[in-house]
Order: sequence, then C-alpha cells, then structure tokens
Amino acid sequence: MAGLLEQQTYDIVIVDAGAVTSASEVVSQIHVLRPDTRVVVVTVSPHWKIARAVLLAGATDYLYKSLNKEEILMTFRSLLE
Amino acid sequence: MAKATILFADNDYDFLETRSEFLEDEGYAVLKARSPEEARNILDRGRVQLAILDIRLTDDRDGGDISGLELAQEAAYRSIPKIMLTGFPNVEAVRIALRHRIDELPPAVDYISKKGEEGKKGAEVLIEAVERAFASHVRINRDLDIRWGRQDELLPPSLVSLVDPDLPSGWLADRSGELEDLIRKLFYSHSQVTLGRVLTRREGWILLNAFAYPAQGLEQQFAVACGQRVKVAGEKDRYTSFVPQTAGNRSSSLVDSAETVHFEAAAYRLGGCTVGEAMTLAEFYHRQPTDRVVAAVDDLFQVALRPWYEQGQEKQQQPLDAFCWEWLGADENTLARAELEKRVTGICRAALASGIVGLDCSPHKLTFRSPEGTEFFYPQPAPYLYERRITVSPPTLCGITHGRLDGASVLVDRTGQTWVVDFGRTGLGPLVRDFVSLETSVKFDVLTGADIAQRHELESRLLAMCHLGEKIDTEDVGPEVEKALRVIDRIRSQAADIVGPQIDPYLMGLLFCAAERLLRYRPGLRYTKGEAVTFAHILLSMGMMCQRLAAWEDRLQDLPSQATESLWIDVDNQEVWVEGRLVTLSPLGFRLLQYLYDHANQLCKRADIAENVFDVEHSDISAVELKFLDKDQINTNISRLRKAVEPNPNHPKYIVTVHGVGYKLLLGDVAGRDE
Repeated sequence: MAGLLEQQTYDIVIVDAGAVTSASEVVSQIHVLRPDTRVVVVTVSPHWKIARAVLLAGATDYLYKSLNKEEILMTFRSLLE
Repeated sequence: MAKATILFADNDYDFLETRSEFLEDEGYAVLKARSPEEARNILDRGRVQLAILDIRLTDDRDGGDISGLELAQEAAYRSIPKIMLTGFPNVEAVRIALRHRIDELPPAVDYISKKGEEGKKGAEVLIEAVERAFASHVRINRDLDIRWGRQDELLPPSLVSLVDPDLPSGWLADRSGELEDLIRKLFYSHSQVTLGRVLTRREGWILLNAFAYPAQGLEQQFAVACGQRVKVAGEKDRYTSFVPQTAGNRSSSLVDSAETVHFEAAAYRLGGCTVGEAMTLAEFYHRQPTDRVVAAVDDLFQVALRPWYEQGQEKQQQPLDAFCWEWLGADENTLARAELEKRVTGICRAALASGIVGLDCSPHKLTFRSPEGTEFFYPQPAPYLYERRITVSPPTLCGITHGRLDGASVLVDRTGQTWVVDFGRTGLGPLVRDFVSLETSVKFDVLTGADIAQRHELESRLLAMCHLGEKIDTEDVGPEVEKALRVIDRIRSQAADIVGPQIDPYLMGLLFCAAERLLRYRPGLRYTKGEAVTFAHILLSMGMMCQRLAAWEDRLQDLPSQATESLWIDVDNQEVWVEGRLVTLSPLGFRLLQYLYDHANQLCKRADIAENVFDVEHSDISAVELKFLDKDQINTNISRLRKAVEPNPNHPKYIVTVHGVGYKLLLGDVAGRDE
C-alpha cells in the first residue's frame, strides 16, 4: 500500500477495518505519507473504541458498511466539497 | 503561576466530586458544573483551559440526552479543548465528537468511558486523557516570560480595559487571566516576549508592537492585533481574502493567531520594518518636516499600496454615491435626516459656546463671517444630502481598497518607508476611497492649532481646483495650514495618477467621509475648544462641498442631452463629456478625439489620422515607416483614449476599429454636424 501511495496522490482512501490488523495504524501511516488525503474507515462490526482510535489517528470518518447507496454518495460528496 | 484550570461537568454529583478530587490531587484546579447552564456560565468566564463534559448532562436515564455533546459543538467555546465522558459509549457519539468537519476542528479532542479499561481504573484513564490533552492540545506556554510593556504599563487588566471598556468590574480578573492565556497561546513557541506599546486603537481592537524571543535564535518583531474575537477574526478574514500576498519589503504577512472564548490575537510581520522604531503617520506628520511627510505619502501609494491597486481594477456600473452611503454604515433610508440635523445644530451651538465666532446655521443655509467681515453662504448639508439628488455618473473605478486609510492605520519608520495595518475594512470598493479617507484624516484628525478662519481658507484653496492634478496654492497661509495643504496636494496628485483626474467623484467621497465624522458628534456632550473647532470645520467643509457639487449639478442640468447620453465635445471650454462624466484628456488625446468627432460616423483612415493629428506628411514617409508609426503612435493613443473615454475600454462602443483600415467614432442619433 505504501508503494501505491508513493506513486500517486489520492483524494480519498477507503480502509476496510476487517481487512487489516490495525485500522488506526494504517490511518496513521497514510497520514504521514499523504497528509492531504482523506481517509475513511468502513466496517461491518463497528465498535466505539475502534471509532475513537481511527478518528484520533486522523481518519475523516468511520462508517458502517451497510449504509445504503444514497447515504454513501452523500457522504463522499460532502467529503469532496 | 496559576494552576491549570479544568471545567468538569457532570450531573452525577457523587461521581463529579470523586473524580474531581483525583484531578485536584494531580495539581489541577477544578471548576464543577452539574448542568449545561452551569457549565456555560463557567465557560463564559473564560478561565478554563480544558473541559471534561459528561454527554448525558441533563438526565442519565434518557438515551436521547446528548446535552453535553451539544455544548461541545457550540462555536463560542471552540477555543477550549474538550474531553467527552460517558457511561454509555457508542459509535455514533464518537463520530460526532471526534470527526473533523470541513475547515473546522472537531468538537472534542478525546472520548472516554467512565468505566475504565482492562487493567486501569476509570480515574486513571481520565487523568491520562487529561494529561494527553494538555500536552497536545492546550497550547498555552506556561513558561513564557512576558514583559507587559517596558514599564509594566500594559498589564492584562489595562489591556482588557482598552479592548472591553464596558466590562463589569467583577469580571476583570477572569478576563485578565484569559488575555494572559491568549498571549501565552500566540507566542507558544517562544521563550520570552516583550509587548512594546499600543500603536493604534479602535473600538474593541488594539494594535501593539511585540518583540518575541525563541529559545534559540534571533529576535522577531511583530505588529499584533488584539481584541474582541469578532473584530480580530473579521480583520483576519478580510486580510486573507483581499490583501495581495507579495514577497519582500512592505508586505504584511499574517504569521500566527490565537483565540480564547472572548478574545483573539493575530501577529503580523511587516517586511523590512523595525516595528520598535515605527510610528503612526499621524505621529510622523507632527514630528517631521513637511518634505518628509510628503515623501511618505508618495511611498504609501507608490510602494506600499501599489500591489493592491494593480490587482483586478474594474469599472462597476453602480454610481459612486451608492457606495458612499455604505461607508456611513447606512443608506439614505435608514439614516434618518433628523440625526444629521441634530448634529448640525448641536455643532453650531457648541462652536458658539466655545467662543468660535463666525459660524451660523439656519435650516437651509450655513453662514460664515471671516475676521475681515466678509460673509460666505453655503447650503446646509443635511437638506442637501437628502433633497437634491447628487450623483456622480457611473462607471465607478473599483479595486482592492484599504477601506480605512488614516493617520493611525499607516506605520512609518525612521527612513520614511510606510506599511499599512488594520485590515478591518479592507475589501473591494471605489479606489477613490483610500485617498479621500486619508485627506479627511489629515484635515480632521491630524491638523491641530488652526482656527476656524484659517480652516475656511484651507477649504477654499482645496475647492479651487478643476481637476485633481492641479497644484494647490500654498502661499500666504499659516504654517499649520501650509503643511496640511502640501500634504493633501500630494495625496490628490497620487489620486489623479491612480484613479484619474476627475474631481467630482473625489469631492463626493470627501463629502461622505466628512458626514461620517459629523455623525460622531454627540449632542449634549461637552467638547474642548480644539474638538469644537474640528467639528465646526467638518460642518463648514460639508457646506462648501455641497455648494461646489450643486454648481456641478446645475452644470449637468444645462448640458445638452448628447453629453449625458453619449459623447459630446464642448468646444468653447475644450471639454469632453461622456454619459454625464467630464473626461480629462491630454492635448494629443483631445486632438485625436476632436478629429474623429469632426468626422463622426465616418471612417477615418490611418493615413489621414497620421497626417491630421500627428502632423506626418504622407509623402515624406515610406510604407514601412507608416506601418511603424501606426503601431507605435496611433494604436497606443487610441488605446489611451479608449481607457479615458469608454465606459468599458475592453468593449468600446464609441471609438471602434475598422479592421485593416482605420477607426470611427460612433455617435448614434446625432443630428447633422459641421465639418
């Protein structure tokens, strides 16, 4: 992932909390490499402690995966404004 | 050094007491609140450096109670770091508390459960969170060495009195503490700061010079704007939106800012300026000989403000007087005429009471009797402003203006170089504003000592000109008046250079600036003689300007419709009128226009223009030379002519190009002309 980030800038990076060992560490790494990139963490099993950890690490938001399409679009739209 | 103060808000009394004791044991001072209202009261006093807020601050049994979280989101307290505390942690609340919004900090810096974690008790978790918050977010430098003025004359209570004079005395101690926190935040990364002196003051706002010393490194000098949050924040917004960012000397750069609940401070670095030696233009005027003051005026407009005026000038279709009413913070509908009248009569009475002889007023007339016995009659300004429709025809040349240029918003150093400060009214507006504002300040703020007769003479000389480039007669007047005349003369030449030589918009601007000063008079208050003379001068100058503008308006009324609707040359007076505006041209420009005018609506070939206007005999030059002449002289002069004459020089409607051949002056509906 670090390789991909170094090659190109991204406006938003979506991290699946279930796919990594520590979502907050991933968020920190992205923040260090690309401070202007917004990071959104998504999860199927939200927990308040993970929410706290990723938001304090610099994530822009922490979202429940089963949001419907409209809500997802709205969130990302507002992120890009 | 006061202990760090924490607000702890929780409606569970026992919990609140117990946890507070732990915090006090760690050395913090804890202010306790048991409801949102109590919390707000404590936050409003402003001495809290960190807030711990229970989320269900009203009713623990109500799952929908997020009063603590709502309190955290209030903009008034955004400068205080907050920790959310809860017995019922959930993801949604964490999101609201910690999520960044666009361009805004999150409401809180942490979110803690009351219950504690694996291996740690709740109290321990809380204390660790508090310590983290102080380390990362409460950026108040408690070790900063502060000198409050060289002789302690600027201690926090004095500063608070300057920016918030109506503060009830019971709150002074807390606000002073808050102001000290503000300085400790602003100079967070320095080890020592010395506040010098107050350079300028306005309502709720002061500008100080400050000398800051990092732990290692050279002294840094700043001009610090400090005052009520709304004022300083407003100034910062205007600075960021409008002030051109130029590198190098004379630039003002916003380096840092800090805020507390009630106050804000912004530190500006003035490129190339030794702030310790700088003084306001008013001080410079009084201490330096006239030549140096005149040179400073040149420097102000040609160097310091040049980058401002060079950016995005545009001609707007709104007439100037519409802009002018805005300067009064009103328009003719909201500012009651009676208010103006009250001040007019009040000033006349006050003048009499102060022993100022010669000035008299009636409902429609102002009379001034000079010491020699001559009587002068002028219109009383109030009816004039409301009854006669004085207008200056559009377009109005607009650009980025300082908005409040006066003796206090310009700093000058020993060598006469200038910097502008105070961006509280910076923005887009008629360019003429900066010039009339500065002239008004010279006459009414800076000029002292002259009596009413001398001031009347001053105004007569200033109104004697037909256009701004003319030299003012400075002979045979007292030294104070001579100095003022020479300085104003220079301001007006700069205006002629940058805005154009038309005098009627300039007078209109002066009239409204004077009206703003007039409105500052408070009937019923006793003024010193010097102040009374100044107010009398303001009134007199308004009457005199109204007379001049009235004469102008009469002239406008007598003009043929061609002058007010399109373009007309007054051959007898050698004047050019375009849509109601008098346009001043160079002799060559006039000749060129006259030629086109005499052949209105007909094609004028370049060769003919060259021969008749530029006196170039056709037979004398080759085709190549003619082409060169074309580009060099004809095109340039046409371009200059368009800039002066056309309402929109980029889309000319009078002087049109006939491609490849020449030019034509278009005058629609012109009834036959003599050739």
